[in-house]
Amino acid sequence: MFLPGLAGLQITRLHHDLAERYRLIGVDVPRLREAFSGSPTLTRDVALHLGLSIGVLGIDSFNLLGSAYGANVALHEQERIRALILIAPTALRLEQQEANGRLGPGADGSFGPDIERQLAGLTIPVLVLFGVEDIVMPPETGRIYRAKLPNCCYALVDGAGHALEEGQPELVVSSISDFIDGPERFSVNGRRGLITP
Amino acid sequence: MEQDAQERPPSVRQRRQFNEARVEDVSHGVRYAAGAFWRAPRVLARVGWSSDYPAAP
Repeated sequence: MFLPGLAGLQITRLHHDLAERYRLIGVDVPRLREAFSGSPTLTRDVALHLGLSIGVLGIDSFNLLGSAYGANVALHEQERIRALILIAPTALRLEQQEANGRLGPGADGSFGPDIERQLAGLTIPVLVLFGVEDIVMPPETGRIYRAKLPNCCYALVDGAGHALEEGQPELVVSSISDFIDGPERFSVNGRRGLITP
Repeated sequence: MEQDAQERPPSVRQRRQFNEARVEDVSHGVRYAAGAFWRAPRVLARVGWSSDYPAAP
């Protein structure tokens, strides 16, 4: 299951390649930021309903891929999810962590003040990918996710920016596939890693 | 203020946005309109096929 960013659901080569290996289902909610802005509870409920909708299609459990803002929604849902892949998530900012050592509410209203507890309770395997050349979110932000999520891998993709699925689709597909097929064996598990062509 | 934001129920406008959501089964080339998404996610309807997708049946 795939949750896109603010640009909405646009089927790219990444999705075609993933669809050849797995059953890929995309969900698109129009005007996503307006819908979720300032309401963490609403964000969580929407995530839950998206999960229910997938159940309607006869899918009991699934891997959830969230891109940019869609990744923030994905972070709210772990029912029936085997693994979570976050592509350049925008929920957290590095300065939040460095200011006082604790996280406040999510940078874009995706989370409330209990964000640390929420992240700590997300026990499913999570892969966080950032492009080395991301100018929207500093790629080092991935360190926060790795520190706060109990089962998180964090990897940087060489030669890609914020839309890293467009910059390096082959690398992203191979990384996602490696992670889905064996998160416990993922090559950069537990440390900061750089994925190169 | 923060508490209000957390407990605020979805507005009519927000519900309408969810009702406009669409679901695309890329692998099977099926697009679903997720009408009444918020209230009844079971009401999904197939609305079309796309020959652009790699495994359209």
